[in-house]
Amino acid sequence: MKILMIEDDLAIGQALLSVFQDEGHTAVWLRLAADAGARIRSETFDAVVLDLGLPDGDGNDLLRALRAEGVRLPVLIISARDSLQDRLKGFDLGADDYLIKPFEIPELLVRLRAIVRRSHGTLEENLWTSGDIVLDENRMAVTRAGQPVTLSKTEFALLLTLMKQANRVLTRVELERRALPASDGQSQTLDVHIFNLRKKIGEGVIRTVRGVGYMVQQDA
Amino acid sequence: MLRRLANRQSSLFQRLMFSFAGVILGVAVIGLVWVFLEAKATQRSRTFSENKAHTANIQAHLSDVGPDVGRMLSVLTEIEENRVRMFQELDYHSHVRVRVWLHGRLIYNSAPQQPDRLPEVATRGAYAWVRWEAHDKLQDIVVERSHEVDDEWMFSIGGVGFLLSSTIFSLPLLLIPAWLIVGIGLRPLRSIASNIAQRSDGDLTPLPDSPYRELSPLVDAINGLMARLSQRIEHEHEFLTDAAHELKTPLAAIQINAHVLLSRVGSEMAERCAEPAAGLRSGVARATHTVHQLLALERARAEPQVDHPRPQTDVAEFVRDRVAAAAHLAVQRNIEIEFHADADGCLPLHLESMASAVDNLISNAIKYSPQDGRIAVRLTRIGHIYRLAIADQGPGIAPELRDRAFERFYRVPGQEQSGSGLGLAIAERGVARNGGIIVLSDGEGGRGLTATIEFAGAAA
Repeated sequence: MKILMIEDDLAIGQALLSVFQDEGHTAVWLRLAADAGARIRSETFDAVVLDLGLPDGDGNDLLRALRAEGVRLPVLIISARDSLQDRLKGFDLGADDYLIKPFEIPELLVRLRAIVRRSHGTLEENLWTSGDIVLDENRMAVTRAGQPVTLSKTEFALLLTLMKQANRVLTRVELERRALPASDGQSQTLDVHIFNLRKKIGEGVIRTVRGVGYMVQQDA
Repeated sequence: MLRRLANRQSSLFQRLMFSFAGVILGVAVIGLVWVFLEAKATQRSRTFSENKAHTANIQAHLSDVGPDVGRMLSVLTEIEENRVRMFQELDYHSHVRVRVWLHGRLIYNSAPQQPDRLPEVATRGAYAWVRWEAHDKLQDIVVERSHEVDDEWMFSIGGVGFLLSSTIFSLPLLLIPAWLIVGIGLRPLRSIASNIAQRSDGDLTPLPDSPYRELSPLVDAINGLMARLSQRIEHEHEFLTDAAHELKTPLAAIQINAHVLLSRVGSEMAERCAEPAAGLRSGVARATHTVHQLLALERARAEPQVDHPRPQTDVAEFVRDRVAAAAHLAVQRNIEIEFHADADGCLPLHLESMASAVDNLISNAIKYSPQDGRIAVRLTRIGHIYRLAIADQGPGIAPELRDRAFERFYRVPGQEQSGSGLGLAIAERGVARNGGIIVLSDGEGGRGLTATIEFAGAAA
C-alpha cells in the first residue's frame, strides 16, 4: 500500500521509511505540515501516518483541515503525547488510531493494516480463531477441531464478542451490553449462556476471572 | 547555661505583659514619690502649727505664775510630763525641746543633752527641727519650743507598704484582664500559624486575607513566598515532564532502527544475534517503561491550579474495569485473579490518578506472583471509607522495608523482576490525590503482600 508519512524527526522518519520499504509498501515522507495538504489532494494514498509536533504547526490542525475538506483517508497518529486528553482529542478530530511513541513496529504495521481494511469496508478476514475453535463471522459458523458446532444466536454473539477481543477480559456489564441486549439485567442469564457455551465448545476456551468477567485467549 | 539562655526563645506575650507591668510599676513609683513629698511638706506644716500652739499654751501658763521661778519650773515640769505621757500613749518617738528665758536668763531646758543649735534641715542621721519662740514683753519671758519633724516612718517597711498597698492590691485586677486581652489580641496570629501547620506539604494555596491591618503584611509575605514556591515547583514539574517527553523520540528511533536492523540480518546471523537482540529489546522496553512511569508519576501529582473534573464513579465498577484491563497478563501466566466486591456506592474520583494507582498495584501483584499463584482483589466499605485490598502470594516485602518501598527508584533488594522502582510512588500519589492512603501488610495467610488503599473520595 501507499503510505504518506508526516514526521519531522530525521532519525524516526529515516527508520520508518526503511520499515515500510522492507514491508513492501510505498512510502512518501514529508517533514512539514504545509506540504501535506497539496500532496494529499494530488496523489492517492492508502493511509497517513501523522506526527503531532511539527515544526510549522500542529498535526491536529492538519487533521482538522483535512477532515473539514472531506478527506476520508485513514489517519494513524504517532505521538509522544500520551495523556488521555491528547488521545481523545486525536480521535475527536477524526484520527482512526493513535499510537504513542515509542512503539513496537509490528504493532504499528498491524494497526496500519487494520485502519486501511476498515476504510475499505472489506469483509475479508472475518475468521476468528482460538486454539482449535474457528469462528466465521460472515457465515455465522463455528467449528471445533474442524467439526461444526451448533450455537444459539446469543451464544454465537457471546463467543464472537469474546473472540474479537481475545486476550482481554470482558466484564459482565460489557458482555451483557454487547451480546445480550435483551437481557433483563438478571446476571444469572449470562452465566447460563456461558455454561451452555462451554458445554458445546469445550472447557478451557473461555476463562473465568472471578468477580470480573470472562476472557478468551488467542493462543489457548 | 549561656547556650540555654541563647536558645531560649523570647515571647511576644511576655514582652507585652512585661511592658504593661513596667508601666504599672512606673506609675506606682511616680505616685509614691509624689505622696512622699507631699506627706513630708504636710508633716512639717502640721508640726509647725502644733509647735506654735503648744508654745502659746506654755506662755499662757507661765504668765499666771511668773515671775516666781520655782512655780514656773514646776508648771514647766508638769507640762513636760504630760507631753511625755501623751507621746508614750500615742507611741510617738519624736523629740521636743522646750527652753524658757526670764529676763534674758535661761531658766529651763527640757532636753539639755541636745546641742544648742538644732538643725532646720534634715541631714544624714539627724532630723530637721521646727522651732517657735514666743516673747511675753510684760514679764520678759521667752518660751522656745523645738519639735523634731519625724518623717522616717515613710521610709520604713511599714510606711512604704502602706503607701504601696493600694498598687499591690490593684495589681491582680490590672494584670488578669491584661493577660486575657493580650491573649485575645494574639489569637489571630495563632490562627494563621495553625492554618499553616495543618497544611499538607503539597498545599501551596494562598492563606485567606487577614481582617487585621497589622497581620496583612505577614499574610501577604507568606502568600508571596507560597506563590514563588509553587511557581518554582511548577517549573521543576514542567522540566521533568519535558525531559521525559524528549526521551521518547530518541527511544522510538532506537526501537525502530533495532527492528530494521534485526529484520535485515540473515537467518544465520539472526541466531547469533538472538541474545543481544533480546537484550536490546528489553533495554528499550525498560527505558520506555521508566519514561512512562515518570510521566505517570508527574501526572498523579495534584495540580492545585488546575481543577480537574471528579465525576461520581461507581467504585466497584471502576475497580472491576481495572482488574479486567490487567487480568489477561495474569491469565497468561496462569495466575488466578479474582475480584470480590462487598461494597457499592459512588464517589467523586479523579479517574486518571486513581486508575494509575490501582493499575500499578495490580501490575505489581501480577509481576511478583509465582506461577499458578492467586491474587485476591477485595473491595469493602466501612461507613464512608472504602478499602481496596490487593493480596498476592509473591515474596512480599519485609516489614522494615515497607516504608522505603514508596520511595522513588527504590527497589527491594534481592529481586529479579525488572521495574522502574516508581510503581508504588505513583500509586501513593494517585491515591493521595483522591484523599486516600496505601498500607502494605502481609498477604493472606501470612504469605505474600497485601496492598490496601483506603479512601473516602476526593476532597473537593
